Amino acid sequence: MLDKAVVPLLLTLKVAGWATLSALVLGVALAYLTARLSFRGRELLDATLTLPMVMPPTVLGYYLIVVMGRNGWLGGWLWQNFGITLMFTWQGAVFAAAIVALPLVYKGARAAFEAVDAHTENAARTLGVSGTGVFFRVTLPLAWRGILAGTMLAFARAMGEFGATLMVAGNIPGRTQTLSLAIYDAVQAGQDDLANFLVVLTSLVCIAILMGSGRLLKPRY
Amino acid sequence: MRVRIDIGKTLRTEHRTFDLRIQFESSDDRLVVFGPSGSGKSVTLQCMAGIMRPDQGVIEVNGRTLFDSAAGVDVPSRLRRIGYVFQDYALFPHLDVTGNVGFGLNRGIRGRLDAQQRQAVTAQLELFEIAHLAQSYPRQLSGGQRQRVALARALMARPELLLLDEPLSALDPMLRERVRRELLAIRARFDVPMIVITHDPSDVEALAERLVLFDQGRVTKVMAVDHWSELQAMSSLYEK
Repeated sequence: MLDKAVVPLLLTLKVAGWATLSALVLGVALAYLTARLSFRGRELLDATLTLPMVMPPTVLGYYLIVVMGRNGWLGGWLWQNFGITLMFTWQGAVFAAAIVALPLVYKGARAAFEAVDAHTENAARTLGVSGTGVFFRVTLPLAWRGILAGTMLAFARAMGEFGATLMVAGNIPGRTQTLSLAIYDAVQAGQDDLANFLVVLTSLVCIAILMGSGRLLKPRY
Repeated sequence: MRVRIDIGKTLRTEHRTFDLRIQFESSDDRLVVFGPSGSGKSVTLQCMAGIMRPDQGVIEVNGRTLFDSAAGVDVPSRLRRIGYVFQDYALFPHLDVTGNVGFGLNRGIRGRLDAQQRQAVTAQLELFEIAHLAQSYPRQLSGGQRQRVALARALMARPELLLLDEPLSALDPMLRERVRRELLAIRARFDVPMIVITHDPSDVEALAERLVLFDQGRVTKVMAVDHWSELQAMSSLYEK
């Protein structure tokens, strides 16, 4: 039973890890953009980026198939020119989970950036420090806790991702079957022991992550 | 110091439009900008420091053109060599006093200070009598201590001109008289010209060589401060 659990567990951690990392980089960049620049369509962009949080995962999965499928407008181009497709691969699962996790990073980071007092950044500029320096030495350290909180939620969300992953990556044991999919399979097949074990395992991993992030998020100053 | 300002800026919020047209020149080392709240004092100083951008006009300090809309000149804040002490001090909450005061010494992305720079910071802290607070964080400091840190930080960069936005307003009235004397001593010691915003007439008396009166986005009067009667007139203006 252990090896039936270890494979999906490792795959889940790998998928959630990469998805969170992608969501972190993209989410922070977009959050900084929308928090600091005002441009046409800013609120439309904000709404679009928040959409994965409120839409049913199946709707999202369908959108992803339309875009990334072998006949999709981006997926089709990739398939014809490079022979690459994300469909039914673990990278596809990463893609789906990253999109689902993105709003949590983005929302947290935007609120964190907006909470940074503009005068502390201005003070840094009058002291001769460049824009990049101000970002890495003032803005990011001050926004960091908010960003980290969003990132932890994003990781937890990516770990539990089910609907969009199922539609994009399928449910292939050993390749794209993450914990939540394995639990669904076990319940369908009447393997209650395996289902129980997987459920407890998932819960323990999530509790460990939340407790670890709680320690990281303690105020230092 | 020679300062020449001739700027215009229109600020729009949902409820009102504020039209700023500021024009004055000065060659005094202690200039006080005086006027009611919302008369454009802070906006003008922030335009000088490059924190805000005027819509049009010219800003010159010591013959250096910092801003000239017609010629397309807009020197970035970090190159203006103008120190700014904010009303709420705007200290970096995540850095200790040493980190705050030494912030501008290393201008790289990581900002680590070498031994020599740390020594320079220590000397500065001693000068401002805050050496015992070197490892403290801003939230652990009193108002007066924060103000010293903000001043020490601004002067660490050896600015050509120091701007202070209501430097005494956040302080206990008991403290103000002492801090006024300290400000004058510091100004003399660093030999840096300063422009101080205030709406407290006693600041004018103590700090000003020359006075610029602001009202509703305009300069209404520029005058030397040597007659008590003028100060009285100004107080009554302030009461109104």
